[in-house]
Amino acid sequence: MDAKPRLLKVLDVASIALVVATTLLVLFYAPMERVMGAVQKVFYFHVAHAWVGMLSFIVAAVAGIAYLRTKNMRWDIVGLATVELGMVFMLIALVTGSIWARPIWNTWWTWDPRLTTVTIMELIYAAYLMLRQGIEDPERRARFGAVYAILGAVSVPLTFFSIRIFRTIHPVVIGNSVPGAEGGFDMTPKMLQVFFFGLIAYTVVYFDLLWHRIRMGRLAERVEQLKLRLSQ
Amino acid sequence: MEGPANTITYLIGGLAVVFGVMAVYLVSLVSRWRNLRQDEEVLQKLDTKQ
Amino acid sequence: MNAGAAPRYFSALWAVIWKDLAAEWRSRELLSSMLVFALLVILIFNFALELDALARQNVTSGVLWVTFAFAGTLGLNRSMAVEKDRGCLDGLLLAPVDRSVIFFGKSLANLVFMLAVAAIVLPVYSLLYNVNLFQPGLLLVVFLGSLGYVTVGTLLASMAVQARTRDILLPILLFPVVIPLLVAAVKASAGFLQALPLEDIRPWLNLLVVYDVIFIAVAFMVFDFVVEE
Repeated sequence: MDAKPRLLKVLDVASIALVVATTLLVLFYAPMERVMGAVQKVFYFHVAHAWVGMLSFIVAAVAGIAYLRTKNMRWDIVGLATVELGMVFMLIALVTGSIWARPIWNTWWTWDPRLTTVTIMELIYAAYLMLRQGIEDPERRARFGAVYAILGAVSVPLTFFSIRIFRTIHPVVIGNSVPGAEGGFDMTPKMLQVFFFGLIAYTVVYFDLLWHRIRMGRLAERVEQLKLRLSQ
Repeated sequence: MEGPANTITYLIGGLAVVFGVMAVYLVSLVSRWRNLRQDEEVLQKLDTKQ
Repeated sequence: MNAGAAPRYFSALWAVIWKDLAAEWRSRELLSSMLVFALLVILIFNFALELDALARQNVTSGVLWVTFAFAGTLGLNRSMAVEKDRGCLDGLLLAPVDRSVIFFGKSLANLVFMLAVAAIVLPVYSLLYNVNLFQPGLLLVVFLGSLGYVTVGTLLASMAVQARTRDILLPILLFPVVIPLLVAAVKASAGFLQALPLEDIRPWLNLLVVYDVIFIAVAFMVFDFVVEE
């Protein structure tokens, strides 16, 4: 019941290899950006993690819809797993975004649409977890989690648009008001290669970790059921 | 011609965050997994005793 | 649905709304607390943001919507909590009528409460700061914004009220999701107050309408799962 499936072991090895490869590519293959210097390389990790954070969000909403339709607890386990992972990846994306901004625009934060939307997504993730924490009944917890994941996912594109329209009328006032506040630099072909490699690599890492977290969720469910049975 | 800015410290900081936060999370996963496994074993023993 | 279903639906809807409104009219707890709260928020803003007349012009719409958002949360929490505590929810669920009646009834009642608060806050603010807030454009924005807010809010309040951390949970759930609405409402209100040309305000109005339509549709699809016991 608990043996690690062979495919998962393969995925583990692949994930580690891809992360190592990405790091090496970023450090040694990608060229140094003319103006920003070394810190621009943080960008590759920043975007990869933000992408995974967004992917998690979509998976959470899909799992929510699946749960509401099938009432199968399996989907609830997926939902919780992906939200937890999403929070971690988004957090890394947020902090690296801030680190990238600091030497370039002399500010730890820019209110540009992408970074702001990422923050709001992180807050929705946290709210999801807090909602679950406050509910005892597993079935209701799953149901409410599913509903909130769907609401959250629907709101995010709207949030992004609203801030985007806001920004085109009010350019960034805090820090540098250069219109390139969204991260303007031209990417050479080598940069693009590393960029996409990073995205793919971390997508694989995401699915690897998701599988692990789902297995842990199933284990937690088994433990809960044992406890319930023994207390009767 | 001016070279690129020396921002190597920020790069190191960024990498530290990327790998550090992930490492912390992985450690928490492993530790939670171990605790759950222990719980499962104990509970299974109690279960078979009954 | 058969021929008699539609009028039955609407009379049930009206019954749900009326129950809430009548109950509130008798005790007036909800409205008075929302109102006092809203006025206090305006007062605090007055001291927190010491503004001259010009700066105030830029900030009015923001202050108004923050006030509505917070007072609205208060109202939402209370209206669902009362339901839950008195066990009325179970009674409603037994009624032989489509579940969505409960949701829409509650939302509309909450909408009435929110608009009632606005009906008092707007004139008070107008008087205190010598601004005319009674323009049709602004009133439209208040209506559209309240509609969306109340739709999402009623849905989330139904969930939050069943959690242990009920009071603090609603704002935590609601605010991140309602941001596009608030941004659009504030910008549209400001546009009307500053008498900007309609094409400038149009994108914000569109966003408001889109938000309302999308979330009313989503709420309709999802409410069943929130109320079933």
